[in-house]
Amino acid sequence: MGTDDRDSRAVLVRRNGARVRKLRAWLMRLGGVFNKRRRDRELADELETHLQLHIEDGVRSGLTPGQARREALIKLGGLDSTKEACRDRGGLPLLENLLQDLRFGSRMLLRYPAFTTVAVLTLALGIGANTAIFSLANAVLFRPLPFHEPGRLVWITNPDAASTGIPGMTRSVNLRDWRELNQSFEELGCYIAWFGRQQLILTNNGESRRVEQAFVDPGFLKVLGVAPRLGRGFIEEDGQEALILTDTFWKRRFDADPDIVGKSITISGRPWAVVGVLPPSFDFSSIFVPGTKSVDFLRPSPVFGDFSDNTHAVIGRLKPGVTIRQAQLEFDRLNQNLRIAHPERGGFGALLSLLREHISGQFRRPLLVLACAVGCVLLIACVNISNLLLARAAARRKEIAVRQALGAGHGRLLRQMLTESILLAACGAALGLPLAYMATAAVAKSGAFGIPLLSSARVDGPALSFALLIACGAALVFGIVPALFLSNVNVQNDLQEASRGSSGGKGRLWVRKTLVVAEVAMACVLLVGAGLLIRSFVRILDVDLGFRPDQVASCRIRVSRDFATNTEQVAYFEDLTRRIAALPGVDSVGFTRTLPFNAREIVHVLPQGESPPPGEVPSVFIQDGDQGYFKTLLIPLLAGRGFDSYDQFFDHGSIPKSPLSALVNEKMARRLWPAKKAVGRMFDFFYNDPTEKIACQVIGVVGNVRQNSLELEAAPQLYLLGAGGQLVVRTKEPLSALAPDIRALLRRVGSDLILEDFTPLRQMVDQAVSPKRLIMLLVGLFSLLALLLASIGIYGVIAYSVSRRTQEIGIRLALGSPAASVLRLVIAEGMRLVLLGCAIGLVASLALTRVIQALLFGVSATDPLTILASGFLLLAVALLACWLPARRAARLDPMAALRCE
Amino acid sequence: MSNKADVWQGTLALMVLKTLEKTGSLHGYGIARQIEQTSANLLSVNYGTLYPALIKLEQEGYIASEWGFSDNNRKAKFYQLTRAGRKQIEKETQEWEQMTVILARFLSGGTEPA
Repeated sequence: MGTDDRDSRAVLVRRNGARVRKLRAWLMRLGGVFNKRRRDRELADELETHLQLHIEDGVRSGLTPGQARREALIKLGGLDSTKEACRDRGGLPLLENLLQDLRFGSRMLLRYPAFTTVAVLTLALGIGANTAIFSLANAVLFRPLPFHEPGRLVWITNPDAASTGIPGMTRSVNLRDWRELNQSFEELGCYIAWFGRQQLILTNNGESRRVEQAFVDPGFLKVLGVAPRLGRGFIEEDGQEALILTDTFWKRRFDADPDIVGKSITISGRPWAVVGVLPPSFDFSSIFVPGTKSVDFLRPSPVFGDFSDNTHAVIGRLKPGVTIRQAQLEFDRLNQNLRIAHPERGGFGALLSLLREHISGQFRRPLLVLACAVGCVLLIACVNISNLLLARAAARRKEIAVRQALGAGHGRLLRQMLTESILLAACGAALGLPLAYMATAAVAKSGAFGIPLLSSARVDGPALSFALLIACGAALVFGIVPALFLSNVNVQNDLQEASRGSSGGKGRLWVRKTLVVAEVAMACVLLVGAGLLIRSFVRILDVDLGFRPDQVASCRIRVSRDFATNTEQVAYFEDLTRRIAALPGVDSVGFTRTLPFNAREIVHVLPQGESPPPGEVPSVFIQDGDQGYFKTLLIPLLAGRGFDSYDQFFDHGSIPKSPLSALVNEKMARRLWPAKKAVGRMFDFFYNDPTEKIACQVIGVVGNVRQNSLELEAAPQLYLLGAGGQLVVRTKEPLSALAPDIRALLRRVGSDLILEDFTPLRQMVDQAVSPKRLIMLLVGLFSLLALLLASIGIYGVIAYSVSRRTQEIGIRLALGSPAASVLRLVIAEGMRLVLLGCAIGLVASLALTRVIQALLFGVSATDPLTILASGFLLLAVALLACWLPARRAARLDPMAALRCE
Repeated sequence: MSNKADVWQGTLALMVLKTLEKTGSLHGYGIARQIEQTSANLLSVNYGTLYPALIKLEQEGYIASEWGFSDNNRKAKFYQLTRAGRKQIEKETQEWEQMTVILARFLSGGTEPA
């Protein structure tokens, strides 16, 4: 029917209009909350007028003023209830209650400043630490990589362990074939993180400085979808001397020169052309080689021939809709065909994983463990505050009973209690956020932790939301038990009870004891976890590095002039070495170009006189050192002899005519000449061009030195005799005393020496373990915090229980019970709880520490020593926490105790 | 219970608006008396319920108030219709009329089935 249609439309319009009106009314009411006083006054005036008018009418109709007033009041339905109805209508009762609760809550918090301070500080610590850890985890694990559609980026590693070269890297020929044949990827690109052998020195503004480079191919930036902020990416036609600067380098060294592109800069005496500048979001080293020196610019990777250049880190961008599994299947097929077609390439393969997984996957578990630990600390803090609130509740029972007697409902009381909790948590969060901000900034800026993307960590929007969430969560956790207890007050009992001051808190004490057991259990789990991590860390430090880092320091030395001949350079450094060695306090002196944990240079080696298996041209790390290097680092000589002054120095510029003397490490000896003596053997090596082979003879075998990480076994390594580079000094005393002497000497020797700061080798080792150290330190810190909080909790409950039992203890003492037995009584009460909590905690830790097994090195997750030690530590601290109130109980004056009630 | 109150509030609101339409500006007590008179004293208003209704109407913007002086020189709050109020009267009147018609049909239909 037509009319019906029109009507329904009319209703719709009316509804909308009504909604607007309703909204207007709500806003007016909201406004009414804030001018409550004026509203009340006006209402009173209005009603007064109403009554007066009514009374006058009544009097006019012949009533006495008294009768008229009575009638008017009856007709109005009571003055106060009318006012109440108007008040409710005029404002928002819920909001007004909330404001009232907040006012009251802050007054309560101010009235107990000690309690409030302790609670707010522990909460600030808990919320701050949680937010900081969240910010770190968010940066490393969750925030998208700073690339275009990072979900489609795939890391392609070479899983063939037997293949030569650096584990996981791919040869250029294979990369070329993949690029041509595959269907799964839009684009493939690569970088070479084994940065070139050259030490590049940038000279600008009259300042010389070492710079670091990374090689990438033209596909690299395309794959990532990174557009340079200035200029362009590499193209195939770019020569070796084209550069793309990183944002930091551009800003720091070139004052963010907007016209830098196209200019030529001088590096190591040669002109290089700047073709682009990277955007600030793309920090190459923080993402791909965290913990190393920051990369200053990208260069086109050298054009390789068809040989064993097993150095390419390959990244691919999947075509839309292609899954990583499909791509993996395709690559498996592809590689099978390639291996048949090119047997000379030896074994190789491709294992695909998401780039994100490759970059930060290994940090997921450590960060998860950290998050759990820090969450546990917050939980223990909450339990403690809950306990404190319960203790305070005893004092407030009377107040609550009075409120209830005056008509406050159960829900209203509960709401008020929770408002107080939320207020506490909000104060904690307000104080904790600056803490979190500082901690996050400190960790992000340190840059030494070797965790990728960590430098981008900051307290951002998600972190703030997280803080808000955990603050509310914490308020609920610690507020709910006391609130339930208080809102359930039995009016009559409590009014009487409180006035008599008798002990009615049996039930509450039971709850408090349960809470203590829970926090002891949690602290126990954390202690065991931290203990395991610490033991594992000590094990890592115990690893035989292959050298002795203690008492050794290193300093990079450069000579600003060029030597005419190699011989001159050698003589210069020999002289320098002699002079430094003559200093009192110096044990030995040496030079090298590469220190342990910084191995970056790779060469390919071919044993002479025997043909290696097809395609298997082993790649080895190469470094040079002089006679003193091995003596200074105490790298043992296992066979043959060390370098001597008559050995030929390796000159990087030219190919020597006669074979060079070479030291090889044990790994390389076994790799090239398994089951044969290595000393005396001949072999060739080359860098990038197999036609530029350099012949060597093995003069000795030295011990393995771990090149890049403490946990990874040493790789094959070759040493040649070199001069200059890094000075290494072993001293008898700590170096700090000697460093000025050495510096002064070096200044005297040559004005043309450029010195950097001395770095103890121990510090470099520390840096290599810094991610583990960070995790261990933080978990250790959190577990100590947990221990402290738990012991405060134990102390609180036992002290409370003692104060409740003062009278009983007084009677015991008066009846002749010795002080020692009172002491035992109280301690036993506390330790029962602790033992129970400890037992639960140990059982739980047996189950939970399995999670961290993967983080452990050389320690089992159920290491009995660690578990016993943690339990013992906990018991000892808990005993102290019980002993303090127990001692007070034992020293009670029985007469005073009896009189006190 | 609360439903009945709503109905009462709804009708009361219309009565207030209608009263103000007739008298122009008027204070609360006057409105109450006027409603009683109009209903020929059949309706005895509990004056107390009038004031929350006035507050609600003012919040919704149908009436406006200002302080003034009554005939016998008492300070009183005077209410008057706004333009939205006039429109609302129209709307509500229509609704009520419709409702009455419908109800009438039901009531008559209940006694003699068609």
